Amino acid sequence: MTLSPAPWVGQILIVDLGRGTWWTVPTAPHAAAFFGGRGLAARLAWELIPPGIGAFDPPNPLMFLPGALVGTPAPSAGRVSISGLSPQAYPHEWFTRSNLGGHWGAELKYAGYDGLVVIGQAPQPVYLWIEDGRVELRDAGHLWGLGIITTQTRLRQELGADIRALAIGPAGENRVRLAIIATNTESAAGQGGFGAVMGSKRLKAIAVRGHGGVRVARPSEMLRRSRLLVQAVYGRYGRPSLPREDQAAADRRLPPCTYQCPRACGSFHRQVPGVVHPERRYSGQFFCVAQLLAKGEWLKTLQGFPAGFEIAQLANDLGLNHWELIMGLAPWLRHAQEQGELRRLDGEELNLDDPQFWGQMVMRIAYRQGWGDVLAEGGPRAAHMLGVGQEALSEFYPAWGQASHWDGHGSYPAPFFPYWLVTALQWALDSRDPLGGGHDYTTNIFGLLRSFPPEDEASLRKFLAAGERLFGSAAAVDPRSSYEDKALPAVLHQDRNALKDALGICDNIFPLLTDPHSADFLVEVDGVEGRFLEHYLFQAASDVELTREEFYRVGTRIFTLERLLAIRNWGRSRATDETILPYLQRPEGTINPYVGHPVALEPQRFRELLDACYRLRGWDPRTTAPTPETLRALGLAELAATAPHPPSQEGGARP
Amino acid sequence: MTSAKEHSSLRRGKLRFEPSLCHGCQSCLVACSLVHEGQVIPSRARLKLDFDPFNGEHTLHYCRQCRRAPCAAACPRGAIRRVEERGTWAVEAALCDGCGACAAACPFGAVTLEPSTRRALICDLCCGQPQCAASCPNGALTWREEGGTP
Repeated sequence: MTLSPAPWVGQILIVDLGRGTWWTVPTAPHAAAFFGGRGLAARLAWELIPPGIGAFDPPNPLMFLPGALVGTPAPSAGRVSISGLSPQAYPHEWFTRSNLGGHWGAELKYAGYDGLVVIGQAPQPVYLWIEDGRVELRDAGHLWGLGIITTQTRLRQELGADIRALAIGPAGENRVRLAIIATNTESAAGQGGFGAVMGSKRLKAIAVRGHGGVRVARPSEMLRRSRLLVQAVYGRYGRPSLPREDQAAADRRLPPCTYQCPRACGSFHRQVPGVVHPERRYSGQFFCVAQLLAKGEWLKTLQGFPAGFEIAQLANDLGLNHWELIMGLAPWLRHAQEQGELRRLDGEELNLDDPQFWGQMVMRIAYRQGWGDVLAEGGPRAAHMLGVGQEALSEFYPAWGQASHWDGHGSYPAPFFPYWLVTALQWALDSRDPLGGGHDYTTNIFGLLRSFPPEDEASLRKFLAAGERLFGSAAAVDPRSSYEDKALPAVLHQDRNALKDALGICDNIFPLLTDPHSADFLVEVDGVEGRFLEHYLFQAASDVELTREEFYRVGTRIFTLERLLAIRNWGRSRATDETILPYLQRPEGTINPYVGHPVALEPQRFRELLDACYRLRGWDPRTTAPTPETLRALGLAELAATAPHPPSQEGGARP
Repeated sequence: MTSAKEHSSLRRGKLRFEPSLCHGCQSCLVACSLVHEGQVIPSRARLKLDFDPFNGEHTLHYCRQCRRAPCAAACPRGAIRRVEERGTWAVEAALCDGCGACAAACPFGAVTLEPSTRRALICDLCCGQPQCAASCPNGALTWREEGGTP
């Protein structure tokens, strides 16, 4: 066992499915500079992913990396970054990430691993069973074909009810580009299609049980700080409680979402009778975009509660990405239908208002049956293959093969101008939908603005003062402003999101910047401003002493290394970043009440905002390449000069 | 300072669990193990959670500090002894040989056997300030002091 600073446990497990071998490498060399999760992923990807390989090629490393705080008492610290070459990414199957909660990540750390990297392809279906130092590849012939929930149930019967498992469903097995990897009922690495990568490796599930521990530097202080943060979370969002009884959804529980999380997002329903399959009953968590299936009038996805819940649970079990189904495929299909481009699929009526059709659609996509085969490629690829709705693509897919999300356009009408400028910048520079871990500005700024009416001038003054405090500029948040200073929050939060994903804490809690109930709209815990609370937790958890500046620079380092990789492997350029422009030129979805009319994009001014982002980052605005000075300042200069090389057992150790 | 400590060591009360408020976050196990073992190690927590994310219902196994404790009665070596002033039980580590009779006897499934040595680990209520309850975010696990207000 390698000695490791807290809260790391010391080693990363590498499993080669093709050879049936495994070994470990120490975490310590990368811990302080990249933390864990998304940070460690970027560092390992730089080494492990050479140009020229695709998502389904055996060398594609599928990385499961809990954040550095996972396993500690830090609120919500149960999140795991799942990354590698993404089959959903478009037009390139490039490197990106997804992320899931649940309890698997903490268990992996108790078993003694800061992460798991899977390479190669098994000759026949297997599952991976990790119990402390024992690592086994077991035959998964009896699990292949089963749903995600059934697979976990079977594994619990085989290995004990106290294991934690990640699994794929038929969608992952069939290399569906919207296939998820999930745990529990609805904790999923949804975006990215990493379930299909797992399927291509013939890896059905990863079960873990750990008896070991995770050390924190200052135990009582860590407990104290974590508890104070929980109180602040409740002050901001309220305590979890069972929602009011509703006849159709009477049997409810608090959703068991994620390790150490105080929030319990969404709801958990039990034994809901099926509409599509009346002979079945469904239990599970119901949250976020899935709820639009039950009450999504604005997206025209309304199916009512029992049917919407059933469709969501079917997709969970089959292993399909709710976001792509509901925000991408469905609006795109509906649009193509309304334009008269697509009335039938293989002679079958397209009826998105009918739960039966949805039931058929999720089955056909997951099994790639009939017309489901082409939809299994995801919206952008399907549009090109079918030759329909291509014009509509730029209506619902901002960029990178992923559908609208808090960008003010397409299927997601919020936020209004000028707030979508910030999220659009987040989109432009990222490799995926950035909102997966990046609600910072939308929740803390736009959400706060919506908490008071436009005529409330006193609140607006307070709001602007909060913006000044957070970003050094009231214009960065002012609802009456335009393009000025929008690069500041975009860049700051891109880096903070990378850091959040490297720590393994949840986007539904962090950052805890603003609170509509507080006197100055700002959060303060134990005398520490909300924007420094991640560091406040880290200080108690870790032996590694970092100043605030050094700590937050880790996020910048991660984001910059991701860019270096995108340039090296996929020739990422300024033109790539501007891919989002056609999408933004569509009308915005809602109107800013402080402005009173829709505001259209001014492409030249948006390009100037991109310039501002690159300058703030120390990247060359022409090429987007980080300058040598930037690389030196971030400690990346030496790394940038190294070439990729495949993982090697030499120098590694058997667990 | 000393008197406050002495006072706290004499606090008596009971833990209570309300399953409908538990969402399985494991904060109780994390706090218990961190306080007793100096690291987060739920396998050595003095309470256990049967976590069922598929049914949304979780069962917490925690010590009731029975007046006539079956665990103590079952111990062939007399290793589990009453700490009268606290109203709790304690394991005399030197006497425990890891036979597991206590765990088998506990009707609440609340005795933990340390995974490698199988030594018994029994709740001591943290001297009247149970850290599991203090960490429970949602009030599913609460501590009610004797004579105190709930």
